[in-house]
Amino acid sequence: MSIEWHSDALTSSDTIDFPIPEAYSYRAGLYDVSGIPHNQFNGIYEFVGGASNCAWQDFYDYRTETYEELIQQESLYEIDLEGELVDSTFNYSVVVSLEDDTNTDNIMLELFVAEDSILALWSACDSWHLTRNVARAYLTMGEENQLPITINTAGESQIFSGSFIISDGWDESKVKLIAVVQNWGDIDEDGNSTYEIFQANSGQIFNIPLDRDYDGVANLEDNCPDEPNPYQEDIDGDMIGDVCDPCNDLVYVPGNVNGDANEGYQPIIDLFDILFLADYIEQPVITNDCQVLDILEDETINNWDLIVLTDLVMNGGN
Amino acid sequence: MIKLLFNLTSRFFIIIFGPFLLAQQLNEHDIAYNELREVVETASRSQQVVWLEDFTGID
Repeated sequence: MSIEWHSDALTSSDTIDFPIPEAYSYRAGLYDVSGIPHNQFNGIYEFVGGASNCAWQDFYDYRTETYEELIQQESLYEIDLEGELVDSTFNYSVVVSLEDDTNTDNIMLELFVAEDSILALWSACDSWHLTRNVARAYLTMGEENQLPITINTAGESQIFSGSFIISDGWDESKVKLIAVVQNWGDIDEDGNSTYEIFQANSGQIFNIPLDRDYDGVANLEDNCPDEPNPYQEDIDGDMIGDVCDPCNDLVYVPGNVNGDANEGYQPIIDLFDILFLADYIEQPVITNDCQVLDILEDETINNWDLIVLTDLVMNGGN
Repeated sequence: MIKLLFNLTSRFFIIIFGPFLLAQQLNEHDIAYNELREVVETASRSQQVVWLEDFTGID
């Protein structure tokens, strides 16, 4: 995934140009870009210099090595894009989710707009090519536009919504919204800021879904965005629609370890739950993710839970 | 609410069985469970996209 920041100073006056010099300077300033071409991988690895004698294939070897190292990295962040084009305005929502607890101080969501596959001339080599992901706009440029990520707990999500206008000169079928999670806080051993990228995502604006399961409910309001449920049934009221809810919270309450229930989802808490929990403590194998085994809610499952469950059953269970 | 049920009956069980049960708290199952949890958590993390910013000029 990439973006090309185009130097206004290197643009021929009589050909197609992409003058966003403020954005170029701002972004180049982060990485101390002096000479071009300059490649910055994940915000931390840089390559400076061009191909000799137009032999661009020579670039592959040492850049591929870096790519293969970086592609093995894991990320705690997920980025989902949602949006809709209305006339010439693209309204978007970017959803950032955390897969584990982490400190997000000075972690920012950066948003760019790029146009892909623009025919351009490499004049020094007299070669025409389709330039990839040329930057068109930097939506989060400047302190006043920064989007700090404030979530820090596994499973949390944060939604950033906004819009941008497709200019007349852009081919809207090639316009992309790009989102990256970037660190603006760390200082390296030399006292310089590092701007590591922790995750990225992009989508061509016609392919970014507003209602990806086509059930008439927009993703952000849909309690099952990937499975059609136009009536949004949610019998246990946990904000997860029944068609995609693995756990009926009316049944899987603390104490109902084995998940049995009467009609009307009335949980049954009895001797069998005690036996089930005792088996689990002896041989901790979870048979499904819905089971509430931590009766004491103290984040450990042990004999204390068994004692409380026994007490619960002796007092009438339900 | 559940903790309210921790009444006299529970205390009786704790007094009688507590020392015996505590002695079994850290066992191989616990260790295996923790290891499994770590593996699952690591496996569930997303692969990071490789991100390239290219500073250049085009004609």
